[in-house]
Amino acid sequence: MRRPFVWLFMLCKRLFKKPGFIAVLAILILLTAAATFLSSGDGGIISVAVFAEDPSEAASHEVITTLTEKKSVVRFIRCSSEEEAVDEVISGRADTAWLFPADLGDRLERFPIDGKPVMRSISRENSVYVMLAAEKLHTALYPRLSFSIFEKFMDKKFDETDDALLERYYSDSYVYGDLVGIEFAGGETSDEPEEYLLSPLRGMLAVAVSLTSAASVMYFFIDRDKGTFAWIPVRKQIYVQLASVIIPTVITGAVALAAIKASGLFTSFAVEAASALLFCVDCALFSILLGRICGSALRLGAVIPAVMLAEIALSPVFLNIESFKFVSYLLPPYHYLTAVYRPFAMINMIIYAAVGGALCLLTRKRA
Amino acid sequence: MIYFFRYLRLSVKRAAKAFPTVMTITLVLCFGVVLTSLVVMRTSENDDSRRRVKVGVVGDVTESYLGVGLSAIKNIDDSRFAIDLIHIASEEEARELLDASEISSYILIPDGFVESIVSGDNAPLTYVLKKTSAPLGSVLMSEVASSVSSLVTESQTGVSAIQEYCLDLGMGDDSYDVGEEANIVYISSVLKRGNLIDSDLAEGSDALGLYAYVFCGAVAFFLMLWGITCSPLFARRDSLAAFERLTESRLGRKGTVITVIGDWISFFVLAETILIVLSLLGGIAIPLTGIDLPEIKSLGSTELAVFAVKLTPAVIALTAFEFLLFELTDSIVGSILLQFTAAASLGYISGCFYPVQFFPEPVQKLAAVLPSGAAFSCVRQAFAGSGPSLGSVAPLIGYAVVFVVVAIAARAIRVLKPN
Repeated sequence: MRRPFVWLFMLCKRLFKKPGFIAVLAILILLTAAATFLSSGDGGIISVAVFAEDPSEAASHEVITTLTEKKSVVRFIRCSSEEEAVDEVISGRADTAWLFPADLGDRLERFPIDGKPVMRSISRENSVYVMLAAEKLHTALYPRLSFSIFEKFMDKKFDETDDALLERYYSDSYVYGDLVGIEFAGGETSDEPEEYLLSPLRGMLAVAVSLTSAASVMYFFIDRDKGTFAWIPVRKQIYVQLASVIIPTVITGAVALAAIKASGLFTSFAVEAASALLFCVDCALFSILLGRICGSALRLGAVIPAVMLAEIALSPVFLNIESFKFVSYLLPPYHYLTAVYRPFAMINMIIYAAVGGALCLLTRKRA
Repeated sequence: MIYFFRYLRLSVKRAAKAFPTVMTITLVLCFGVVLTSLVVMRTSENDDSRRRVKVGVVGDVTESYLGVGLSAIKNIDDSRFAIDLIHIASEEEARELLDASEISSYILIPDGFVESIVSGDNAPLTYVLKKTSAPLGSVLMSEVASSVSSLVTESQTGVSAIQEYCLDLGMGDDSYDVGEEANIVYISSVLKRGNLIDSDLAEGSDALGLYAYVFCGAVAFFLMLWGITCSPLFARRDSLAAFERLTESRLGRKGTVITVIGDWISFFVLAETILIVLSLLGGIAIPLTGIDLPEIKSLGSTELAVFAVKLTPAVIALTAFEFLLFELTDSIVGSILLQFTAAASLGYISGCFYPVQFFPEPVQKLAAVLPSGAAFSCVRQAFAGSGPSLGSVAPLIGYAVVFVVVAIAARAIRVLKPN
């Protein structure tokens, strides 16, 4: 009974004497600190250079305040001249420049009649982000435009031009509230913008756990080739391999879980712990099978970077990719990152572990 | 000096012998990087057959205003994404389709939605999507949903104000006819909102487009990862340690300097050779990938070879960094672990995965001074055609000198350490 614990202790001791393993754990902690710091600042998916000919003009001031008062995916760069704003775009520091004229309010009033543009924008390319930013600008301009449309309609239909009366009717009829609520499958609602800079941290930590698992298989191969396990019957070496792979994977997984907790991405303890444990088991089995296919530490080392890149691309680390699903299903991080937000998907991880375990036992050397 | 050239010749010969193995491993790595980039590019490709996002609609869509409203939603992003609105009979079915990724999201329209809009009570639509650990898509959709909401509520305000005025005038049921007329005016203005802004494209910009940026990010990340392929050759092993002690005993401290610089130069020569070979192969492979992006599809072997030569300053710095990592680890496995973790971490901060503009400005400045950020900047300048400037070359050379000096110190300490 004592022997398995002695083995576990010795395997752990060997592990912590390897500088590469310690370095990975240290980098995971630094990465978490860096990612948490990155997400706390004023980043943005798109950068917009803003120039107003007359910043004190009521319409320009109102629109720019509306755009900048709430944290959003757009980062604004205030410029003191049109040339500076255009230069920001040409140099690549901004994706687009918005140029507010000195008579923006008058132009918005005339727009329902003459349909002429009320301001200019200059962009490097018409990317989806530039168009998203343009929608935000339309939304910020629309309140004034809506009132202007109301005024023109009332003038045309009823010859009503009393400004005070029109303003009273408009403000008394004002409709508040959001027409569209965001909800996630599972019932959770979203009021705050998600931290798109911090969220990939979970995926990157998962890939690091997977990498540790693969490296553990390489260490096992090197030890096996040196004859470290020569005295153990061949049919029982699978259990030594399992232990020597699962232990470092679980240790790295525990550090990754602690990092997720520290970063604020933690969901519920039960879901996180269960999915992390299943993920460690899946990674270990995946790495062992990959090692069986490669046959040697050197060949496994050659394919590890490609496998890690596939995990980064095809698991929901930075993007949700719907293509190449048949490859995604083979990768443990895909199932882990799905199961954290949809606990029912943990069944897939259990099935993965069962199939992986069966394949490991079936393909082991017997003599 | 003569010993240096003798050792350099030996080291280059050793690297040349390992060239086929390293090239094979590099091709595997390259395949992984290219596949990753293709997946990213294909996900956001904008060609004439536009990518269609499938969004389910649950609820009664037979009401005419709702039909117009859904048409407005469908046209709210009329270039990159064409949205396929698919009517689904029940929310349970929509959930199943969402779980199976048959749809990317769905809109839940409550009963009596249009009546609530007309009366100003605004029973909200619910936009349901999957929570994931890659929320960029849901962040963007939240912004779109917020815009839709704002446009509709402002329009409602105008229509309600007009109807209130009509009711106060004693128009009775005629106020609803006027309200309908006002609705048409407002819906028309929403659909024509693009005319508010006169959009131009900037001329004379050297800055890269999104896909060129992704390509350069892939190249930079490949350069950071490439050191892994040479782990069997340069990672610390017991056999090398014996040779180094012999050299130290014959040549003194000079021996360590000679061997480190000689090994690093052979590593750099190997890297440049492989880059040139890859650029020749790339010119043949790019048309086969079917990429239809103008910045990429026009790249032939010659353009790629010129590009590879312009990358020399970045290769100098990154090979020096990777060589230092070799010296800091004691085995091939440790080297692979450290190289990959360092490359992934530095690549993330330097903007190889997310454009660096996504990060706060202080981080952008930090990324620019990191060796990975400086190398990435060199790659972008090389791709843009102008070639790396002195401002980007100088820090790279500086970094290379520092890394080589630290590598010499690391090896000297290891050689002096008793067995």
